[in-house]
Amino acid sequence: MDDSPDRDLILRARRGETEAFGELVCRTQLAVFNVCYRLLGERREAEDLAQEAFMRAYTRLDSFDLERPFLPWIRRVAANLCLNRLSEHPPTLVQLSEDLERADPEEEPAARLEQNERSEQIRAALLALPPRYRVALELRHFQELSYEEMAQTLNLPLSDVKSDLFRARKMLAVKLKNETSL
Amino acid sequence: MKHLSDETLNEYLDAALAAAQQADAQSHLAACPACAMRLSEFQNLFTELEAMPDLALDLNLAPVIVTRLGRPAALPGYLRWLAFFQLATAGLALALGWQLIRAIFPLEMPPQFSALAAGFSGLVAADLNLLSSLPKFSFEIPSPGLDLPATTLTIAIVSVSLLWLAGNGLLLTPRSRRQP
Repeated sequence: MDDSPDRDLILRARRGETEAFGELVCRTQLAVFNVCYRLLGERREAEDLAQEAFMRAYTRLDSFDLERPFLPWIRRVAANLCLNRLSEHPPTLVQLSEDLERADPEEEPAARLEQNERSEQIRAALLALPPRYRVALELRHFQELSYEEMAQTLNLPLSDVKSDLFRARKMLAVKLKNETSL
Repeated sequence: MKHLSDETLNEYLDAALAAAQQADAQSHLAACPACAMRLSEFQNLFTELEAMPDLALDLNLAPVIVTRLGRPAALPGYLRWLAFFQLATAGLALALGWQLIRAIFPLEMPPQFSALAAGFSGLVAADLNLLSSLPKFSFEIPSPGLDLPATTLTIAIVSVSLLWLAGNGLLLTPRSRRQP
């Protein structure tokens, strides 16, 4: 495990040290994979897109601003790739079951089990949203972009971004309420 | 009392309202339990959403990425065509320049070592003679035996050079700067 700061690893990667870039991948892969999974809802596809995000980031390392942190940048790269994928191949139905909860319920303390169940309800509700709304929630809540940054990323007017985000939240709240009342 | 809209509540939570509107919303929320309740519902939703744990990754992507980066990147399609065009042009240049090559190197067969040695000693002797006759030195451009006008030949040579530079310049571009 290399303890060098991200900045040093990026400088070494720019000089062609692929191992240094590998260390950056190790540090950020979980977050990048989860961006892809939240947007695509399919594990294998999310892994493929996460790989593509890193490959693309490597080719663009020269344009990366070393004064900024690496993680938000690579997450944005991943989100953009997923956006392109979603616009090229809109998902028809999200497959959830096998990906969601893998823990053995008998081994889980009750409180943790309940917490996990709730998390999975949210994840399922999120993946059931139309891709456009899913993207709005991803950029605002997980990547913490401002409305203006979202509009820039999505190449949409500010009013559309706000409207998508509010509708997404409303739809998510309704889905979760229905889930809870079942 | 007019209640706050969902949009306003959303923007309030996102701290996206103008300072004056934010202050108005805050004072309204302090006085209106119904709006405060709706705000709290949105807040809970945001908290739950953001607290959602990351899903575990089944494989370590780092070795896969490092291996992929170690492989030569695929050349873009246009570069493959350029390489083919380079080869074709080199062949054409060779065909056109064959007479010139024959004029400069008039040997019919590959030279033997003894012939090369004799040629080399002959060259040395010729150079010594040339040095002794420097004051009277005059240079005459050898006739290549080609029928091509000089401009056409120059254009051909420049084009081939440019093609070579463009092709090899792109081929030698570092992998990190090429599109995968």
